[in-house]
Amino acid sequence: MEFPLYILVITIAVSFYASFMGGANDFANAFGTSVGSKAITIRQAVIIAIFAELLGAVFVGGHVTDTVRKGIVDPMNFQNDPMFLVYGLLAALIGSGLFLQLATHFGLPVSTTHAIVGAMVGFGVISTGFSGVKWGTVGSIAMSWVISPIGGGIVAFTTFKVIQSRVLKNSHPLKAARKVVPIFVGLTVAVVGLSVVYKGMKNLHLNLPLQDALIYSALLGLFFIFIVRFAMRKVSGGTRVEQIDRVEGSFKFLQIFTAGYVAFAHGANDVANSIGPLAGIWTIYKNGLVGLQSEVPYWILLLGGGGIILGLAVLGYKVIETVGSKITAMTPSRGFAAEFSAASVVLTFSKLGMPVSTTHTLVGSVIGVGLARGIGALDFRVVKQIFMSWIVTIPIAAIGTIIAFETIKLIML
Amino acid sequence: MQGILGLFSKSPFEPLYEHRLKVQECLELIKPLFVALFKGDKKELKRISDLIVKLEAEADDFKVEIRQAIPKGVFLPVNREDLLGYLKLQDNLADTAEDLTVLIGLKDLYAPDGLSCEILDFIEVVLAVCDLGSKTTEHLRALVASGFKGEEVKAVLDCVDELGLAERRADKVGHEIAKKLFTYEDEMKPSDLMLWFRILDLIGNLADYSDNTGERLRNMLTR
Repeated sequence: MEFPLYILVITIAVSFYASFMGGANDFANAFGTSVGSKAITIRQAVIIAIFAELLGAVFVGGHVTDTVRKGIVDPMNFQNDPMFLVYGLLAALIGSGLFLQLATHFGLPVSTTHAIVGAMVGFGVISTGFSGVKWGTVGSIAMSWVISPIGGGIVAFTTFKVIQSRVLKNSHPLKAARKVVPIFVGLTVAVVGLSVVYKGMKNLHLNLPLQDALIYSALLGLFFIFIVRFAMRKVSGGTRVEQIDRVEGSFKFLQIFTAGYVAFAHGANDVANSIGPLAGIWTIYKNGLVGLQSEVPYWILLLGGGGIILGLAVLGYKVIETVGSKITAMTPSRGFAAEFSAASVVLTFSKLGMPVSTTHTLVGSVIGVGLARGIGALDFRVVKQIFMSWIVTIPIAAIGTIIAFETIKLIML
Repeated sequence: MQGILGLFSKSPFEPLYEHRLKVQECLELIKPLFVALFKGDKKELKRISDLIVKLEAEADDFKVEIRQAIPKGVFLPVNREDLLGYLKLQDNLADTAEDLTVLIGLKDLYAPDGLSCEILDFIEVVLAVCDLGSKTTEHLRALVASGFKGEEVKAVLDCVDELGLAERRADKVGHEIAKKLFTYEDEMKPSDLMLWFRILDLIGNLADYSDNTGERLRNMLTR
């Protein structure tokens, strides 16, 4: 088998491009609610995102990654002709990258995971026919269009109702916040902690069994509850309106936490979308053989993380800048409710092995807060558009991949 | 390019408050308008009239902004019809102030001396109702912040009750002054009498509109 070096170089470039587009599309989604509520500035959001995404990508981002993401296509079908798989993976990267660029251009928050799944479906159909695609996997992903926004919506609705009835409705909101905010801090820390220690840090060999993970994260949460309670013990005074303002201030602090967590989780989960295919091609380049899973060298993880960061800093930055200022209806308590719910739901589902999208869950969460009468105005016409864009993600990424694949075949074979 | 942020529509509640502030500016000019009329100060009368017309136009800009912010399909924490009705009532206040300047400017209006003091008193009673109405709009802002729950709800409902009582008082004063107007029917031209009757009617309407904004607010809360 002949594997020209320039193919590898092209793959690296295209993989970087796909990461870039993924970062651009997802940045506004992960940080939109924080920036909208003015908990952080766009600049701060970019800085938090850079660190959190890179940490997530390099430390948790799949030291061992499935070469063919989410098992849509069996790579063993291509044992006799590895170059066929190489071109397919390259085409998938191009297809998903182009789709993400298109979606970002039209301001549609789509899932990068679903884009690469769609791309793999396209490759599967063109290479081995309809029977070569594992439709069960695709079906379970389609399910997540329904499950993740509804899950996010329900949790966010409940979270905001709790904040409302416990704190905002109280005649002494600040006093109430002294009790409630530490609990939310503790919960957030526990959720973040659990995601790291349970099936999280494979790279650091910090893989605890569920029972231990639960105990450790609960202890960590409790520890934070005490710290925050202590820190807030002297907070009091002011008229009701002033108190509400200060309560919102304490939710700002929480939002920095959850926004960082969303970015961390994004780096961890989504870096594989663009570097998975690259890792697969790298393995073939090095060994000349098709592998089911491949060791991912650190430079590839860094490349993916770097692409995401550059994308969010260059394009994502612009997205938030153009629309962030017109939002007046978002406050830190609402933003926290949405982000906290999205992060928790994504964590729970993904640890259960369900492929849910952060973007989809967050959209559902924002709607949930709106339904609890928490947000001044939500444009439900946009909701329709967003749902449509989710449904067309797989077919369009698939078609893009097929076109890319046919073009590559025309040139190379 | 907007991502999830595209979900957020511009909240209509801030411009609603801005609109109210403009309307309030209009209303505050009504008393000086009539003072100038009774003094016979034509120049001042013209100046104030122009100012009211200008402020009414500025208020209209906010009205358009609010209407554009809430097309069908935008989800609001309150009933859309209630919000539009609330806006309409607020708008009626500014329109009525403008109508008053028109009526006063139609002809050289004769004002019997005995009536001028009572008309100014009536205006004050009505403006007090409008002030209470303006408070409800401020409360509406606080309600949005708390998600339409809690202490604010009680405060708003109290305010709405108070508004209803104040409106009834203003009504009574209005009836008295209308009766008194007709005691001058022999010394006034029918055209003056007719105009004054209409003017008193419009001033009374200001109190009605303010009261109705309160009732709209009650509807929003009991959704």
